[in-house]
Amino acid sequence: MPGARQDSSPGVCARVREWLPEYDYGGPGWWRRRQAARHLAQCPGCARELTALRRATALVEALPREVAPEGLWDRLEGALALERARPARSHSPRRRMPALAAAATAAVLAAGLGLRAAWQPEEPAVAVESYVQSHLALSRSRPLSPGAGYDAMVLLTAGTSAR
Amino acid sequence: MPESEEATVRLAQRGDREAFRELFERHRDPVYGYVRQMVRDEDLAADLTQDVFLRAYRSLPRLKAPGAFRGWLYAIAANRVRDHWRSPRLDALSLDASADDGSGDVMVADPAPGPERVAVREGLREAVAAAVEKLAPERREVVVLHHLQGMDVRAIAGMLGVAEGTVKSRLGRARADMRRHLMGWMEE
Ligand SMILES: [Zn+2]
Repeated sequence: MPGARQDSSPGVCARVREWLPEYDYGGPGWWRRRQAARHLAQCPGCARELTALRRATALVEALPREVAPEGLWDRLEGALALERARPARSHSPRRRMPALAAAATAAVLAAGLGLRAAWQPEEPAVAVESYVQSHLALSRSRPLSPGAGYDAMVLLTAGTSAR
Repeated sequence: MPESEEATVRLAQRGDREAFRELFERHRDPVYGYVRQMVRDEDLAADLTQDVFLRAYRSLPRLKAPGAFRGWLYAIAANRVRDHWRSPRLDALSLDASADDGSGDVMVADPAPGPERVAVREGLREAVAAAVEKLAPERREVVVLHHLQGMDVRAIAGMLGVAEGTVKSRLGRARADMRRHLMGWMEE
């Protein structure tokens, strides 16, 4: 079949491999995704490459979750108490720079760098509606069990390495 | 977010300290984890995390969608990290976040693993942690949010104020980087 021969050519493999890193994230556009899907179904080399890409981020997901140091609430409470004692807004006592100056500096820098308003301190310009919509997706995030699945991941990695 | 969290957020918005503490307890580890991945230094991460919750406390009464608390909190955390990157010297740190701060160390030990597996696992963990650290900040940010914090592309885009395509592209490039950095571990 001419179509099949064309799909297996090195040029096609090279092109598909450019698209593979984004493939699972919904990139790189529906047409390329469709082409990639067809190609993956018949090209073991590219399918192996996709597996290797997935494995790399699966290893990240298997990293143990960080645990905040003890006493963080006590520190925060101290800062909050200070805050309440001083009606004027300021940052925590550990900071040297007043909040307004910091905000102004950040705003100027943000403007200079062409950054979006989302990066202004304290008042993230969140698309509230999109958050509400994505809320359900967020709440279904993976369980944050420390080290969970890491053994399996090690075995997977060690035992099924690409040949 | 569990339904009860929205109620907790509403209570905290009205000044209920216990409610705010509950939110803190629920989110401190993930927020700290995010910040730690971004700045590497433990003490700095703790400082910035404290600051994130302080900012959240101040701004909470103005949060119009209590159901969106988690994303909103992460947006504050992302802002705080960016502020730090812009002017690290203003953060009054006792520790300098140097290039080699030992942050590639094993973070948490699993209970009672077999001896030979410990070596493999710890070595691999270090390699994975190091590979994450090597990522460019914009790529590391989306990797941590998506692969460690479980946020979807759309939520991350909303949080960072960028297009979804940008998030996908950064995730893809990060994944390619990770694959390259970890090649030795995956292909012997
Ligand atoms: Zn191919």
